[in-house]
Amino acid sequence: MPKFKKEPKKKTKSKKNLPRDKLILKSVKISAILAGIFLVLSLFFNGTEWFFEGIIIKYIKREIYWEILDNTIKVGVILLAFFFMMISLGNYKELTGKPVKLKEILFLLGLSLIQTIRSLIVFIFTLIGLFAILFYLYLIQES
Amino acid sequence: MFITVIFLISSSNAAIIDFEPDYGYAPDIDGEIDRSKKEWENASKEVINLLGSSPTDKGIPIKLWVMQNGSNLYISVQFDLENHQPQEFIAILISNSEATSNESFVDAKILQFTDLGIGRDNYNYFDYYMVNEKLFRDTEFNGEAAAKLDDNEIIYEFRIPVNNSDDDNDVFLDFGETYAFKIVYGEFAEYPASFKKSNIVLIDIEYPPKEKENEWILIHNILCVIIFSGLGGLFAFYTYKIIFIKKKIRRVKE
Repeated sequence: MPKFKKEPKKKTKSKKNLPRDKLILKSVKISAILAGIFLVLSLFFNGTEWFFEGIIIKYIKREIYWEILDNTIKVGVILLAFFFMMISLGNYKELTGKPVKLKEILFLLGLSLIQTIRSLIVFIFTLIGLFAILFYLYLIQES
Repeated sequence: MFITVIFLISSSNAAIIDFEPDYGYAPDIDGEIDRSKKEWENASKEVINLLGSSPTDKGIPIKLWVMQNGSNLYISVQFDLENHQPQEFIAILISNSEATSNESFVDAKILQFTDLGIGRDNYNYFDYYMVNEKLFRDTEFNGEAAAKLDDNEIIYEFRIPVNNSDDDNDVFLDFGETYAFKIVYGEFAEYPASFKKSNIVLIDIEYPPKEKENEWILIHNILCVIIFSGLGGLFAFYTYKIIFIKKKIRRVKE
């Protein structure tokens, strides 16, 4: 009989992984909260009749520069919501031990694009931005 | 915006352009064009010459802008002159039809300066009716006008009611009809003796755009409600999944 009882290998591995899991879970939660915030902002900027013309040009000044800024904000909130949602979903999937599937990425892509229903300009720039984000995420992912 | 050049002859009684004005936001009638507010953005814009009676007269080239909304027709006249006269005016004579003969013009809207360039650029707006080319002041003034001199360029702005005049002295500008408008430049306040240069244009009074746009906005709104409610629902489901992820992780590890 051995003098020291060897601890099961499985338990040790689980202990080592615990802080990493917590870190990933934290990332899932924070990214989801940020995605939620940008989704609400997108609702205000892209979804409501109040801001159909654009909140900035409606309340500040109707000029081309302000219109550009207005559309940039509209595109920006959608892209940021998508970016944080992708991070959150990616980490969520990592926790559950599954990879993010292509159809899930396409689903998120569709959900982001559908927010641009009110403006063709916003749609075009959001589409470009979404592909840029996907390319960036593809580049930085662990091989 | 659609402008048709009908006649290219320089006869004083022939309309040179037919305006089919677009609908747009009402500009402020203040003699200024505020581009930050996109004033006159939808106007039909054309350059025409106001000609005198002499055949050798080069005339005054003016920018003529015309636009409309459901209750008013808006006309802006802009031109550059080296020497503006203190009692300069622009009159808009309105025919009761497309006819351009002198007798056809039965209504006149006039912006008359009293001391242009030498005082505080005071002006008055007058509404006249015309009988056999003679002008008589209306008992009730309808419409509005304003003007402003900036350097040598002057901007006149007129607002003329459409489809809602109860005044018998005014031409009732009806939707779907075309009317002749004579733009007249003069240099002292005696009408019509001081009518110096003029030209005639036709303006179609357009019907208000159909309610399709409003229907489209309503459809947009309904779609937005559905889309963002759906997104909210999906996000709520995802949040629920995150809350219960610890159990899932435990199950995966086991």
